[in-house]
Amino acid sequence: MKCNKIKDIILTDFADGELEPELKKKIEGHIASCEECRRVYEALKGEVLEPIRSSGRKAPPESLWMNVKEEIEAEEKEPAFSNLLDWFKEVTLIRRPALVAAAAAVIIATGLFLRLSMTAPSASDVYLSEQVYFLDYLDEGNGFSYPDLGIPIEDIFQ
Amino acid sequence: MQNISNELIINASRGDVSAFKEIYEISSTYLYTICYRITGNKEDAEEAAQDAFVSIYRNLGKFEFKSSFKTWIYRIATNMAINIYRKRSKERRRTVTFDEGIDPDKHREEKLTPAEEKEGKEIVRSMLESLPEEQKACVVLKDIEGLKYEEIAEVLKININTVRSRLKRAREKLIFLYGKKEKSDEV
Repeated sequence: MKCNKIKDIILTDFADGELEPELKKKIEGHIASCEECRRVYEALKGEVLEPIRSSGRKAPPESLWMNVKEEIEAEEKEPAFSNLLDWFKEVTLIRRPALVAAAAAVIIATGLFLRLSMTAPSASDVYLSEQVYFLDYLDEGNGFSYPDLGIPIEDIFQ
Repeated sequence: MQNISNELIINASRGDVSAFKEIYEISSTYLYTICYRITGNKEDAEEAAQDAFVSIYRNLGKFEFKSSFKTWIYRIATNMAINIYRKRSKERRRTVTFDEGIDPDKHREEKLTPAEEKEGKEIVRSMLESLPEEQKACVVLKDIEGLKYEEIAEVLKININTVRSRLKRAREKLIFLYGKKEKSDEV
């Protein structure tokens, strides 16, 4: 195995103790005999891993739990809004086919309504039909008639 | 981290705040450390950790017990910390363009106590600060939290070999920066 490949293993699996025992032994043997790889391993161990691994954990400030609790409780005090939000999310994200079907139904219903309202007689149509009916009624000799003046006008201009 | 029982998770998911507090007490030091090491300062770490715990509480009902609860909460905290770190980095870049000549790192500097300085915490912070966030997350999860490669891959939702290559690049960079510094100090 070449040094470059061994260096990659030293920087990862070997340094992190993730190697099989057999390969680990081979790498240890190589480090003992190769100055360049030993230098890499020592720099990694002493200058990088040691300070980071020994830096320890940090305890959170006491205020953190109070802030978390406050935020959780504030959310629980608004169930109506959050329920509505959950419902909206469920409808838009999970029940997408149902939402599409509902939208299609609304569009069809609107189209039918518009079509019906366009075919229904308008106010002017109603007025005209009433007038036609009334004139027909007069033509049939009903209603007002002029008085007889004697000689028809056509006879005067003959 | 001490084991968190399924019963505790189920009770907390049903709105039992005292059960959730137990989960918080077991995990808060671990999650806060991840947030602190990724964001690099106390204020952002506190914000990231708070967002992480609220998100954990909200989503407990969605946890399916198929994966480890520990890696699930580590994932939430790591993502929150990375998001806040990215947000702050963008804000700093914007500030710097209006105020040229100011070192962007100065904005996040936070005074350490002499004891902390003595412990070399300042060095660790600047070491982590020199890494891109995806490499930094791998280093924190491996070298501070002690997770196995497989667990890191699960937390970050990446391939196990990507974990290896990110750790390798991060360590090469740190050896180059800090090894070189010591040599030049000696000269």
